[in-house]
Amino acid sequence: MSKEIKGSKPKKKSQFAEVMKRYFKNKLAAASLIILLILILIAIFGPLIAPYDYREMNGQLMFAKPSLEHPFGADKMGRDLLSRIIIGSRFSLGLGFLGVAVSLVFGALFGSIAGFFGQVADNIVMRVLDIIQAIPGILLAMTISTALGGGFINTVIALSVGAIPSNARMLRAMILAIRKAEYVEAADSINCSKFRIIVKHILPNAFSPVLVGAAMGIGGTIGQAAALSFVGLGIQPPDPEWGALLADGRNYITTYPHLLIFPGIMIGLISLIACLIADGLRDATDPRLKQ
Amino acid sequence: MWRYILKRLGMMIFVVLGVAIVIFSILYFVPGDPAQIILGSTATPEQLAAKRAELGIDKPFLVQLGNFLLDIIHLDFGDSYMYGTPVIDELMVRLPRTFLLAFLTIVVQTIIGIPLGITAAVHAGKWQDSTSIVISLIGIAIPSFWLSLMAVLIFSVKLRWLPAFGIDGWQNWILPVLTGALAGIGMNARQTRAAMLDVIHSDYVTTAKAKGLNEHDVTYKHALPNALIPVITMIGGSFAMALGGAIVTEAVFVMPGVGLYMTNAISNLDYVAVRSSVVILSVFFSLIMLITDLIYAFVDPRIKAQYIGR
Repeated sequence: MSKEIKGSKPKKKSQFAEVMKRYFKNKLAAASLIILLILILIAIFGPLIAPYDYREMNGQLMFAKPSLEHPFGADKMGRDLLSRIIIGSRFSLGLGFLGVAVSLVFGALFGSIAGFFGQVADNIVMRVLDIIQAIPGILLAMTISTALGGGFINTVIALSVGAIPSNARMLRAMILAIRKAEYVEAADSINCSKFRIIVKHILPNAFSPVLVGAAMGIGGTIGQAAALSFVGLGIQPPDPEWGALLADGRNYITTYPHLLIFPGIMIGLISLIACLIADGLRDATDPRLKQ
Repeated sequence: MWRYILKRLGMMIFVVLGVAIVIFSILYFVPGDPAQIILGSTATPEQLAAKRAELGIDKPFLVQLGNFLLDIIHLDFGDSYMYGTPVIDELMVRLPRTFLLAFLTIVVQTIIGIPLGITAAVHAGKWQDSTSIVISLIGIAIPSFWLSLMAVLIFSVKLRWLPAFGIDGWQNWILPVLTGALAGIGMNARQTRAAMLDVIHSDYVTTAKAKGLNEHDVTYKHALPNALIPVITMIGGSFAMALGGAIVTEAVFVMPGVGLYMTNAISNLDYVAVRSSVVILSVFFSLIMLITDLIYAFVDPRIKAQYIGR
């Protein structure tokens, strides 16, 4: 047993290395990943990087246009917009990553239950997911957000519930396909527990499509979070989540468009790189494209 | 086929009741007292208690839920707290606007997105392909409500070509539809391209080419119809996106549809209006998905065959 595990490790590593090698051949995808990492670092070290305090009001800077000292200008209370966007990235990226993580965990849980524990469990879980999926995503997020109120954790819940069904379906389909595979049969025959089979054998094999979906989901979730803030739900001003910045600047669109342009560009940028990373991962993990 | 349709209709009724239960339960936890909202802060405790009894919100959760389900079966969606009028009256006026917006959006994204995807796949690796990929990526990346704001800024405020809000004339629909459709154009183009490439590389297309049929016929008579099968599901699925997009777009362009009604209702804690809007929109969404599945089953002989003789 231990020999087997030892033997399997180097092989796994080489496969990962190969996927990475193929991924970085795609220059757009590689650049996107690097930009994403930079954005994550900016979010983590935000308070150290931000040139000004994002809450500091300055009457003389009200609606200041972009300048050298304030590259993105300042908002209606004279707060530095660049600093607000930097701190806001903690909210936006946090919501994106956590929202996707939560929906993945619950999607994997329900998908595994449906795919692995027979007809009755499958039927119950899938019918419940059918119901959730019948509610258009943004409407479900709005409803949950109305009920729970604003705040970071509540918004994560509001954003993730709607994405659970599609994740669960993907996992279930994969489990149904993989559970017939010989190596799962082999694991079953040496008396592995169902839990062990799911965690050790099935989930790792379902990894690459899940990763692609997750990369795509992060951009979508950040956009949806922004839409929620924009209609007055989720994270609200004065918190500088990017959608909240848009909501905050909305009334000044005709006079001070820079308040809307910069946060919007950030949301667009993150969605774009999420999309490119997802494409890169999909191509890199697709064995059919191996040369 | 009829058995399949009936089975799916039965499922849909089950799903719709489920949606009603889920939405009711979620909104049951909205903080705030509707009686207080209706009567205002000057109401006495007795008046509040009387109003709660009148609304039926003093009863236990399950009784309220049961009443709600019975009411919606009778198409009674309750009275709005904000306006005191039946929600259904308001929705009947507003739903057609929201649907028109979603419908026009889907039409635009389909007639632009699909040809774009086909062109990209047919000319894979050439400039047409790259152009299409760039357009799709931009469309998917830019949040549509932000695009709407920018469109208002450019076309309404600066150029003064088109109105920024309202639904007074056909000009009011141009910006909402176009900005709403861009994301869908991107998705449609990407998926059509992927589906098309899949089919172009399949064996029967190679066979058709090997037989010496001309390239154009193979692409448009053999490959295209098969590539369009998954695209049908996609168009149905994009209805959810268009509907969700319409809700937010209405907030930007101040179009008096269900979306604006809902966002107003949310800020006024009018959850009777919120839950009825969500339930009704979900019913229509389920119907569209059902129709999509039926069309899908009808055009794909492999799926049709599964249900014939059952």
